[in-house]
Amino acid sequence: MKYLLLIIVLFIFGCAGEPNITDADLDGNVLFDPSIYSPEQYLISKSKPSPNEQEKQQPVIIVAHGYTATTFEWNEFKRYVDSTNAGILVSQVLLGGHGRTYQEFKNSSWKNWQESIIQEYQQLVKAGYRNISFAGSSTGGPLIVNLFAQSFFANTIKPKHVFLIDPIIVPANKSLSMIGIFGPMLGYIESGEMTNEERKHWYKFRPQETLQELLDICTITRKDLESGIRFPDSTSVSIYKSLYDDVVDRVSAVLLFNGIETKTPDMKKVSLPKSGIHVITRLEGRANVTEQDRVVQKNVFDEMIQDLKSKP
Amino acid sequence: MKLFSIFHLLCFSFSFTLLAGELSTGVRIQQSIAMYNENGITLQYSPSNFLNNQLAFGVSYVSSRLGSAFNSNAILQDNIQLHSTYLFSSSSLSPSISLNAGYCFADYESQIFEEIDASMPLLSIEAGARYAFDFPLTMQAGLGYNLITSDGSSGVGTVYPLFVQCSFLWRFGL
Repeated sequence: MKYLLLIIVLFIFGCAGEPNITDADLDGNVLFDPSIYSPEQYLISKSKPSPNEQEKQQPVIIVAHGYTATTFEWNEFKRYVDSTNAGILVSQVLLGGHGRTYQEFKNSSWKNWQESIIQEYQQLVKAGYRNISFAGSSTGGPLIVNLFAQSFFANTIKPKHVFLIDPIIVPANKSLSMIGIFGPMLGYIESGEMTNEERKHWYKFRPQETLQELLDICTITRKDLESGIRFPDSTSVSIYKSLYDDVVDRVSAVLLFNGIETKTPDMKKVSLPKSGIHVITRLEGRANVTEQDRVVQKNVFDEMIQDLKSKP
Repeated sequence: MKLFSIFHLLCFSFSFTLLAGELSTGVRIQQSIAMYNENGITLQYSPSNFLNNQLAFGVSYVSSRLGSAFNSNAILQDNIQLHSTYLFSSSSLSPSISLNAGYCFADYESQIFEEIDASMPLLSIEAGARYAFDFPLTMQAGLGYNLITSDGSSGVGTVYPLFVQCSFLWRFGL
């Protein structure tokens, strides 16, 4: 019922041409993701384009952020990994259409979003890296899983591990399923409460075109999972899904766990932290963070590092 | 929610106590927008001496087992619903509105997910049309809206707001 009311309210008050974007918003023409100016600080293919034989065997993890987010979402993980001297290289990709302007985001498709992940992977393989893993938060999850559904890794280096942090297959807000009907009338949807820090790193306004793209990648991945997605024999997967997350429905974890096929059952793990935070791997910039959230985040980071350091 | 179900049950029981009417049974095909296809059976009763045969009460069972989850990894989901339908005319083609109430049960097939709700109440409204053929077949189709859906942290996440359904019913005189 609340969705029906929401739609009616959005229809009455939301029908507007262009959103009111300020210079304090990432959506504007002033703030951009820093990886656009300094890619070598974020991408391993840029910072270490010619690895020696030892570095080629080093674990590299490509981390992909979620819908409307930027590389900021994985900063804490990179800092944590670097602080542990685990010998793991973190490559933070900026999804296509993200971290730029509202208009560029509006014109992008989920395939554009995914292109950055593919490019970085191909660059790393070309450079000679052999031990490559992936981590995707929220929409980063289905974008990575889709690569396996397309058999993208059939004739190339197989990823070692895939980490999915609150991957979206089913949204918590079911009104997304009606975006094709009401989206063109709404034009865009404004995000809820955001901190000043979040406004610098997340788009505040969500063009209906991109919400339709989000629904598309969710639906495509769900159907692929229903048919079964076979991971390469050497690839294992870990799914982390907060139980009280208000962005992604927890049934997403069920669909991924049942739909991904690994060589052996122990190569597929699922963890359901009792947290209300969507994407526990990012706490910086949030309004309310508890000590328990920090403990959960550290546990997730430690498990990821342990899996990345394990022998192939 | 419970009140609606009790209301339906009372109406259903009461209508059977009336002397004459029409019983029909058949299949129900249901497709949620951007989610599962669920199919099943439906049973409907229309008391003839009550609102000129324009009110019907029924019960239906639809499941993803007979739809999206057949031979796939989709979530096994069973829905049992009571419904009351009002026809705007007694002619063979008539617009209709329905109120449905029931329960949805999901099976996640693993104990790992025991902390995720595996059942939730259903309550929906539906608008559509009914066509009664000259021979004892009735086709009833509608666009429905689930008033209760999961918020991500409670309920069954695969219950989506909008659905379309089509039922084919064979009529029996009582």
